[in-house]
Amino acid sequence: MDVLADAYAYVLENTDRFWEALRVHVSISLCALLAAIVICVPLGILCAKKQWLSAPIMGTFNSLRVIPSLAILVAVLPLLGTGFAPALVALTVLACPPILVNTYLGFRGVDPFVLESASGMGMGPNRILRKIEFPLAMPLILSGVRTAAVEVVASATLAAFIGGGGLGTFIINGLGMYNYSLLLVGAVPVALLAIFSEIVFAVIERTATKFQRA
Amino acid sequence: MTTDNAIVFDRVTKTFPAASKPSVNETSLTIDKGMFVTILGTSGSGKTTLLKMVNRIIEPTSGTISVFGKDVRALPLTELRQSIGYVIQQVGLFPHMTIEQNIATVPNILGWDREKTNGRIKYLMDLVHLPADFRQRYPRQLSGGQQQRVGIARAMAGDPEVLLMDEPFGAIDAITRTRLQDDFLDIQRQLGKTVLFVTHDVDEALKLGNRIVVMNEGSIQQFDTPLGMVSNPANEFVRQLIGSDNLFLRLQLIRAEEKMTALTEPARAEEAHICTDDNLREALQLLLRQDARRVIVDNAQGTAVGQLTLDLIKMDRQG
Repeated sequence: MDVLADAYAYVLENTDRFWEALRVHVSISLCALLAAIVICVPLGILCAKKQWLSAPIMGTFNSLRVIPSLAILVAVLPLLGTGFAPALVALTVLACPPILVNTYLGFRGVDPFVLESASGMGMGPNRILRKIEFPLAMPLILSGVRTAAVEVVASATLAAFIGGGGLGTFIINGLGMYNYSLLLVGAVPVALLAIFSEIVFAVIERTATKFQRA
Repeated sequence: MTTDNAIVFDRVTKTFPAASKPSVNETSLTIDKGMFVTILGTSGSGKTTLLKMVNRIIEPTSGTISVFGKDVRALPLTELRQSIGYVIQQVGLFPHMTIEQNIATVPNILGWDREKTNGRIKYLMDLVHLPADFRQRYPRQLSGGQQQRVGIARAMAGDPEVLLMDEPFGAIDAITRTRLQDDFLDIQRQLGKTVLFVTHDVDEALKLGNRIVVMNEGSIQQFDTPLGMVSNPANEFVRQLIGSDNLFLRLQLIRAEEKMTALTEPARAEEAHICTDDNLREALQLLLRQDARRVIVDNAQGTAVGQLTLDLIKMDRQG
């Protein structure tokens, strides 16, 4: 318990550094997640609508998933240098596959007879997308985002390796200096962040699936 | 072309890509306003294709279809479909919307104000015999029969003149189906909508339609009234399909009122009674069961207005 107490004392002494690291960690995670949503939700819809596109696009993103997070971080180094930008790119790549796959599955899973009755009643393609397909695919899209969020929050720790900042800085320094309390200053908030994002998305998912439980 | 013609098919052909034979072949058909037309055929006869070309779910290869004198291709697709009710066997209710939101689909597209939409929902739910407290429920909380009632209400929300129905009661158990048929028949008589109703069930086709189209291999075999279809089948296929040899079927299609004669002596309460709207088959059954000489025919108010005897029923065989 001493280690924890020491970690807490460190946070109190270095409030500025701690908050700054937390801010960077959260913002880099959120940015990566948002970028992945912006890229992958439309791509997922496209794949669901144009079957011939799904194999190449899904294949590309799934092969990216095989590469370990750290390897992606290091691989973008020569291209983008160090700092926030390369870390963001690497984390975005990481967040993409679950969102892409789940968006695709969500749209493919909409009952074709629901779509037939919608268009049979005179709903145009845009209206069907907004009023029918999106709400019905939403539970799956959200669970993809949830998976991606946890992954990104955890992997953002590695951003510190390429100078991206964040809570990972404490972990790297703590490991380097054999200072376990410093390590915990990074590790405990990361774990809490991951749990927190899990809970937040669980709540959002519940509201989106209200109709399934009524 | 007068507007009395609700739907006109003019030499309509549909050949699906990679199919060797057309699903619907050079078909012409004129349906008057207010007719309840059942399209009867086996699977693969082209009956569903014929139906779905009206609201352009399927586009014909050649020929034209017009609704109230207007070529269906003249209107934007969405506008055309908003003006035609559409009901399918699988119902296809929107699972994430409540019953009232489902019914409000077309009013919402048309941009009705809330009060008008609300009134319409109330009226329709009453029309299809759904309790008002179903408004806030979701489709999966309803039984199959109730869901199709919502499906019918939803299709009628924009007050379309024409209703297209693709085996709407096909997936519903027999008892519920009979009730739905009776209720929908009432609705159609009440509102006088023009209905095109696809079914593979002969009894359903005869019971609901005041005209029947029999289709086989992409062509219309006969377009006639139920009685005409049973009495004078156009060919062997129709005779086999309808079961025209079945005398009971014919008796079932003739109402007591059409054959009854004046009472020869005052009706007594203990005699067998039927209604003017009941059919000859029911009359015959009563005659046989009670070994009676006659059956008394009562009108809707319960007053005896005529009688039926075995001789009168027999006469129908020649006439």
